[in-house]
Amino acid sequence: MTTLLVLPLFAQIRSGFRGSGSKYPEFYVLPPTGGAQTNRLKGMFIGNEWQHLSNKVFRVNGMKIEHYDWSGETNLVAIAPECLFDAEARVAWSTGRLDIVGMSGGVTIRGARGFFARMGDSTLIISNKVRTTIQRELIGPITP
Amino acid sequence: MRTLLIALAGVSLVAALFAAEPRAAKPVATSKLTVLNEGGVNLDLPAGRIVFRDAVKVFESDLYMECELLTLFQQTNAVAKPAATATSTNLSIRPDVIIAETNLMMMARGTTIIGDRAVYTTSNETVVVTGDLVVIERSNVVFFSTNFVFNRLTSSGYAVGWTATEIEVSGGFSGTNALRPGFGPPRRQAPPAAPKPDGAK
Repeated sequence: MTTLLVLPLFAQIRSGFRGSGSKYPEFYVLPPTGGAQTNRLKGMFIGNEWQHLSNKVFRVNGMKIEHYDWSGETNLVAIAPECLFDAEARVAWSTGRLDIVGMSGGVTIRGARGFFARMGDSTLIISNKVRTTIQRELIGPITP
Repeated sequence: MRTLLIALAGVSLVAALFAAEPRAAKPVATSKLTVLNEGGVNLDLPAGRIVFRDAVKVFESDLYMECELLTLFQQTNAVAKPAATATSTNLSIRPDVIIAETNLMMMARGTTIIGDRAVYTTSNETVVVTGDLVVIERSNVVFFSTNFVFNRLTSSGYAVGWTATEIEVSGGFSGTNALRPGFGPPRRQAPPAAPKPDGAK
């Protein structure tokens, strides 16, 4: 029913339409029940400013992807100044910068030359030169 | 009485000084591991896997490593999860296994290791290096093998399969049987000749 309501809405959006403060949630799926969606949030795609380009592709300024574990705690935040977002496939990509903070600050990843994020299966690909910093304690015990 | 009061005051002052002394906090390890790479990073959260590609360089205070492919696998059996959380994607767990592959070079605590593949298990801090030729260089000893197990915790290791060792002895062999200076009885130097009178031969 929701799909029937949403699909015509996408069709009615004119190219160049601008909006702000939109969010796209992603929910956990239960495999034993054949992929039934739960009400537990898995991720959230947040954009400060949205501009409709074509079909269901938007240009997003001030992108932020939050990822939550099963208990609802945020375990990863990805921030990019701008990106493109396909609302139907729920994928985001850019040739620009992406900053990631994960594991409560234990891991920071900085990519400057592009990324691809797939919200459905929580996959994030950072392209080209990347600098990653990992707290030593996350890898294993400190040797004396 | 006055002396007793002064003594008590002194004792109290000393006690207060000791009480005010804060116990030194246990230093928190803040060592960071930096990874630089040219080919990008893949974060696969459901699989608990992070992959670094192409010209990967890992820096740490006591470790430097280079390879072409670095994979971090996170623990999936650390906590028994209910069936419903089978797809739970939790990044806040420690990597269980780290695998470095292709053109591997690792330098740590005066030891250099060259090989094709290294598997580091965090639980026991053990690195297993394999390859067509694994070279381990430490001070003036070069060790060749195909499979070497190194424990970072104890800084010890052993090889599986054939091995060859090359020891560079510096200064021991000079290519001659002559005694080195300082060996043997001291030589007496001839006394300087007395000046001869003019015209004498």
